[in-house]
Amino acid sequence: MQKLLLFSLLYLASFFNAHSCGYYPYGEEVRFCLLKPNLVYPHSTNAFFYNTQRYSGTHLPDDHFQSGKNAENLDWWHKLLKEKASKEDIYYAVYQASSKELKRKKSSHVAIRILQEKENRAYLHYLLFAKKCSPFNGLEDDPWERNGDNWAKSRDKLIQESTQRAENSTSPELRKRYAHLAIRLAHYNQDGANVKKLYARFFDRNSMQSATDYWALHFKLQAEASSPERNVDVAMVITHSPEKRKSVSYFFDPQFSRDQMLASAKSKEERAALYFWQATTSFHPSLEELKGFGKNNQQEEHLLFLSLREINKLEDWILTPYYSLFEPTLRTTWSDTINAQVLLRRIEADRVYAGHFSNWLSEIHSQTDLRNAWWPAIRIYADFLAGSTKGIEARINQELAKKSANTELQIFYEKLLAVCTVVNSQGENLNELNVEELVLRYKHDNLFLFAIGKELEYKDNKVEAACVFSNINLSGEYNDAVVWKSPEHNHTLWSDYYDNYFFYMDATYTVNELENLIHYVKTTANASAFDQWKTEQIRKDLDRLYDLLGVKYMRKDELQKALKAFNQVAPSFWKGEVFQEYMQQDPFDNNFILTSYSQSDKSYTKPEIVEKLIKLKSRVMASDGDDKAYYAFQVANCYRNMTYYGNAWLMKRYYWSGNHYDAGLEDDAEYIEANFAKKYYLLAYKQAKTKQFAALALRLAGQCEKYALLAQNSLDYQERWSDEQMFTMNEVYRKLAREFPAEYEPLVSNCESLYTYFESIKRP
Amino acid sequence: MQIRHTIFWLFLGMIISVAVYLCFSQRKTDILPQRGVYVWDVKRNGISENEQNFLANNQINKLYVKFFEVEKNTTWGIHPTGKSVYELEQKYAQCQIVPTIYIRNQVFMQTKDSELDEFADNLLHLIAKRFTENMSHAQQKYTEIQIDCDWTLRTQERYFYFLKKLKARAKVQISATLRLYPFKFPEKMGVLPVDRAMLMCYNLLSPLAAGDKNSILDLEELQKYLVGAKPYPLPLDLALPIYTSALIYQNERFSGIHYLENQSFYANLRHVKNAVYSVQRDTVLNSLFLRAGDKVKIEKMTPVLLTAALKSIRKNISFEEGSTVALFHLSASNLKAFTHAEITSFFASLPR
Repeated sequence: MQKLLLFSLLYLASFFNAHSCGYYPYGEEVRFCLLKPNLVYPHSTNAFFYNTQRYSGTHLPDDHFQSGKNAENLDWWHKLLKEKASKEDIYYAVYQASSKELKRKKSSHVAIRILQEKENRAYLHYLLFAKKCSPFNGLEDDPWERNGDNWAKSRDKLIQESTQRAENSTSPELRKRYAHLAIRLAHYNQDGANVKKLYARFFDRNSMQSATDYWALHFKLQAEASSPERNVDVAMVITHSPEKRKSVSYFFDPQFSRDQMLASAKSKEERAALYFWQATTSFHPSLEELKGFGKNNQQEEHLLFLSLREINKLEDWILTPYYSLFEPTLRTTWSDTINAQVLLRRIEADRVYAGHFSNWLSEIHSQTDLRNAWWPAIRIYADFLAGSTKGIEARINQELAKKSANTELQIFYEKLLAVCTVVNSQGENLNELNVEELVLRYKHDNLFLFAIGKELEYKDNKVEAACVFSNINLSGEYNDAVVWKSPEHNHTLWSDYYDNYFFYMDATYTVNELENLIHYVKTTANASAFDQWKTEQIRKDLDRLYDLLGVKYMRKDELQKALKAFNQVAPSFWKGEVFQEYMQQDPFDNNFILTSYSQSDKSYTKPEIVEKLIKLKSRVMASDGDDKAYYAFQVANCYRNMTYYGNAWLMKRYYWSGNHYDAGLEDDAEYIEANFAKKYYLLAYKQAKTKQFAALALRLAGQCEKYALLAQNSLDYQERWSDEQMFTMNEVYRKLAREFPAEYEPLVSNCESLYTYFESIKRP
Repeated sequence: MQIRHTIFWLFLGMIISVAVYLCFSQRKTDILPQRGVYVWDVKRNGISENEQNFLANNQINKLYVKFFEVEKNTTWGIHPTGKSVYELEQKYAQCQIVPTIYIRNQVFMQTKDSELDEFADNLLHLIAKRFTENMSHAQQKYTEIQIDCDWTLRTQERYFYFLKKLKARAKVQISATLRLYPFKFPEKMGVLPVDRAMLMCYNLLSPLAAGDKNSILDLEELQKYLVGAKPYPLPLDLALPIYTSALIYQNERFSGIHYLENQSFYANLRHVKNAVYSVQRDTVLNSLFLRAGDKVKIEKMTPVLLTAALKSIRKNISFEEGSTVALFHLSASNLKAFTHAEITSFFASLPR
């Protein structure tokens, strides 16, 4: 049995790249997301985009300029320098240049040269002072506090200096910036009282005008005890300062109810901020919060962010289960009782919610002038998610006709157009729907292809769907792979999901569907690049598909049809490593239980097995007595060996596991219980004239009965019955004991003793 | 129902009292165990009323206060982290403070003598500094420093080197925590080169390997270490747990263990089976964002478990004069798991 386990692993490895042991896809590996936030915000990372790795999975790229982390500050400097210097150049001056470089004449950096101009000197001096303070901005400057006093004293001096500079500044913004430096230093001196004092002196909480106001508030609230009012401040910083959004979010205390916090909010802006924060962190439907925000604040930037977040939720709740049959990634119950029907019912409720969301989008558009180019895409997609697909293609084409310079937007429209076209079709082939060019254009996008394939499958165009599925996950890139489950929740491999079309077809396609596919591929000329792409993988796999067809007929015990299918396979296929290595035992051999006593060193290919089985069955019909018993015994051996317990299980399965045999296939009962084998062993018992042969046949029928009892009582290897229990349950064993009392013990208790019984079988 | 509940707890309290009495009276009748408690929070707003009552009523006068933890990384080398940021209030001025430092085992991996020498100096410096700053009301200077480290055979040599250096340089007693494994196998693990050892009778199992068992204190596991153990060659103190922990499993993967301080957290849990619960709504636990459906295994200490543990300990270990019995750890929510009577009985039973 260990050999078999080893085999199964090797066998699978020979077909495709299996994931490591114990792996099971979840989170971002499963989530369906066509409208990725980074399409809308190309240079931004944000811990609050809807995803399954919130707080931990969002890593800022090294290049902070690209990440947008310092966008607020860079914008300010950019405007200050009258947009004469590029942001890259400003980034260098503000974050990278040394003080010496800032002072150097004839700098190669435009931003530095402009800063050195007379009118900007005050800002240059501020920047030089900020750089002087910079080394002191950290709590762990001196972990063992050997020089702790010196650091604190140095900070104190700088606080005094910056406070003085703030007082002397004629520019209101510089006054705030110097004051902010002082507050930051006090914060790192862990001097909350001074933070609050400085804030009160230089900032007005009721007049928040620039990013600096929010940076200062961000430090001030950290010096305060938790309260509903502090939560309002946190929400304000989160809403208005993306730069501080993540760091300040940890100070939001969830113990206060929304009503408590709303009661503490003093303005519409503050109420809007509270709704914004709640919508930004919720993994549930947030339409209520969106409405709350919209009533109090209609800033486009925030509405877009929240709407995108809601769209991503809807994608997860509707499209993740609709296409992959995995549960939505953030609503998973991890329950075995969730089946496709339950998931599809839940989707209907989520589609209704998507409809409400779409209505709100219309409402907010009627009230506000929203100009971002992504709005039409969001509205169209919301309708698609709501299931209101009528007329969507025309709307998308209208948008595409505008020829936006935003490439990502155009790509999104094109992908959605292709999917919608299939959704609104009667299941025609892709070239008949005129979307073949789009599909070919985005053939490397696994998620997109998978959506197309599943929509075709839902339209019952299984042939075209299989062609599309065969082109998924070809790159071998783990990160881009799509995984999905079958509608009947099959478990034909080591787990209950698929990432490969062949094994998916093994679980879900009928023989007719498979035959149609083979026929289609064989008769379709490669007239176009699209046809070639569509059928290329399946053409390569034709031998495997005929093998699969034969296996499917074997599961139905339609031997002639199975033989016909196996005979379509090129003979060299059976010489493949897998078969050579692991299909080398004789399934007809009488002594198959005791391989050490086996008289046969013969091996068979699949068609040879079926051919011989057909012949033996006809001989059973045509003979009597010991001859009939002999042929029936061999037929039984073969059937028994084509079950979970045998040496030719490859005739009916593609995967064998020591701990799982319930694949959800039509012949599961036969595969696990060996009913055909039992029937033929019983026939051999009845026909055998030799007492020992009859007893042996009955004993092996009893073994098949035992398999059935184990399966019917859901017992696995670890928890089988004792011999006494088994004897009580097993009618055939009781019959054996009754009719052959002297033979029962040696036959049942000791496999080695079977050898002498095998000797009693008479060859015709 | 309430009366029955109270009687039940009183009964358990009596059991604990008797057990503790036996523990410290049978071997040596003249011992006077001190009463202690660990203060393990990084941040706290003073000592709550409930905690104050607990300390006062039970005459607990020894506080093992975690000053900071120590870890190692490439940027800072061996450095302190999680420094406690609270001050001892005037009313606890009479308590004996034992600065306690938790050192991660990784600190002692591939660490040179010179680094450990410097570390010992830094450690003593920071303890002294922190004591002056945060414990300014203390009437007596500390006379003991306790080192807590989950050292292994692999780090034993480096750890012991460090302890020897520390002991040589410190002008106070050095104690170290002692897990049950090194307690049972001193020949293999060595004897701590310190003045006394605090036997930690908890965290006996890896939380992940514990299955349905309680990884904080499992009696069967405790017995394995106690039975047949030879007397440890150092004076022993005893630490017993009173905390509750939550093992969090997100997306069916273990994501961490947390002390469960927030009682309201329970209201958001649905019982699944045994000690396993399911989070009902998205929430935050100790800065960890939990999602609906995440699984939580709650491990609690109960009076019954404490009584049984004490019985086992009493049978197998003798404690000397001046020993301390300390509870881990002081927090309002931990105290809620035990009735006032139980705790009072527990300490009252110690010989006077």
